Amino acid sequence: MTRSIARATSVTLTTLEGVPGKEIIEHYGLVQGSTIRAKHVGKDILAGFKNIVGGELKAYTELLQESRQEAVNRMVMQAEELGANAVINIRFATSSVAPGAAELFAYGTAVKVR
Amino acid sequence: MEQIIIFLILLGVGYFLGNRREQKHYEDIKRREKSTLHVPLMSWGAKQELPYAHDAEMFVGSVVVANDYFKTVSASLRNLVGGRVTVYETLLDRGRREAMLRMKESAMEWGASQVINVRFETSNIGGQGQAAGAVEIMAYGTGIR
Amino acid sequence: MKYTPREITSEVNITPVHPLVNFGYLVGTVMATGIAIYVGLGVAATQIALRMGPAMEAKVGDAVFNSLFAEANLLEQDRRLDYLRPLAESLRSDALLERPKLKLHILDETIPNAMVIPGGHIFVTTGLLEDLETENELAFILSHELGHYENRDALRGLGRSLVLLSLNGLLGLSGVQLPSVLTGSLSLADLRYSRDQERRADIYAIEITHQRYGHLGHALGFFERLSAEDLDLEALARIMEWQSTHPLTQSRIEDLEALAEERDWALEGKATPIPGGLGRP
Repeated sequence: MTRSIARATSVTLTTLEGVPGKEIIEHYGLVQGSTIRAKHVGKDILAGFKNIVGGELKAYTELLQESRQEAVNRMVMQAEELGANAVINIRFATSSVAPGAAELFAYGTAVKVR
Repeated sequence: MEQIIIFLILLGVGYFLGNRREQKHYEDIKRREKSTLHVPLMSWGAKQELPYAHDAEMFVGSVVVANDYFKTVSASLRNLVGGRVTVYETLLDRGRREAMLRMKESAMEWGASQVINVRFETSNIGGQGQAAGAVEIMAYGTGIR
Repeated sequence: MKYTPREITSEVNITPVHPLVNFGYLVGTVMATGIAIYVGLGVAATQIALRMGPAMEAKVGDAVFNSLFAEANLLEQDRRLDYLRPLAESLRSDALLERPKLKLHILDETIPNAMVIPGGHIFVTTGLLEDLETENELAFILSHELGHYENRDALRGLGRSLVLLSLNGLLGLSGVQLPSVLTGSLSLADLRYSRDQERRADIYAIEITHQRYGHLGHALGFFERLSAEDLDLEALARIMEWQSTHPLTQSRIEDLEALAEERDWALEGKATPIPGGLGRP
């Protein structure tokens, strides 16, 4: 279940203020990726039953994991367009924008390191 | 019967007017982004030494956006079927870029040469009951000059 | 490090799908699923109606009873039940041994009527008891209802609500109770039967009646009186009420008489009187 969240790409992703062992030579500003997803009503009902038993809501965990993956991919696409090879100081924000739909938002600074 | 007609009228108004306003907003955003491109925004900078900075000040840009009726109905249908809620993507994208621009513009007015350590916050401002009301998006960062 | 301003032109955060296409797809999916569920429920209901076991049928019967008759005025202590119950038992065929037991109830209602609901609950109104003149008529009416019971007509009549009712019954058997809003509201209109079902119940009834008395004399007496009555307003209302749950026309009487002749059954015979008079409690 745990694998690197970055797809096979040449862009390095870190939550640090730089890439360890490398020097930042150029930066391009903020890049963001976001996605909003909803799970269908059948899984919603099952999750409602889970409310009685308690425990991990697997359907929602899956939903948010997929969304996170997609948000990061979109952010990396923006970084690649700018010509960056790393995105630093990445932060995530999750919020509920409508009943049943969750927004996953990832943002960072696109830089070129050497 | 009248309820169906009112519903369809609202759907139509929402679709046509909403689409037009959205396109206008996007044109405005793109124009302003182009003109402010020379001032960088960065999400890092908290632990850097900033020898060239004399002054620093926090700037916040925020916006509350709501969806038109057509998109709200589409979103509630999507809630049943599942998958990507495409109608909200434009809403949040617009809101975020607008909030960023407002923060950038107020920083530039102050004279900032860059804005560092930018963070975002999104929250759902409720409508009545369970209907999606509006979304508030806030961007804040430190301007350096 | 230097800053190189470049514009991001690709809208990665927006899925390029036309909103109308998106809307159409969603509406289509929701409608198709709705239709599939509706049809599926119909098929499931028919299958359940045919194969339901006695324990489940008793539960469904209780649910229908509570839904329709909880507020009705039932005379449970009436001494007439002591006569009606053994009579119904004696008319019960062996095929009914696997079904829930018969339970007789008297409904305090001036309009003559009789009905059966799943689970073996048989209802006769006080109006009917006052109108009857011979035991043969009573036996015919009771066997007609038993015919509906044996053919599971009431279960079939419940239609799609049967699926939810049996679900409720299943959970009830294991101790859990679904909220009553899910079982839906039933009405007497749900117990309407098709012409075919009525006819089969009629044939069943005359067979049982003939078996018991050896002849069909006076069996159709109640209906003959009803259809021959002077059409004043009150009588008309009574007939129409009867018609709404049991459309009984002259042609039906004639059909039964023709069938009796076919089988060479006597249409005349001695009337078996009702002991003690059923008109008063």
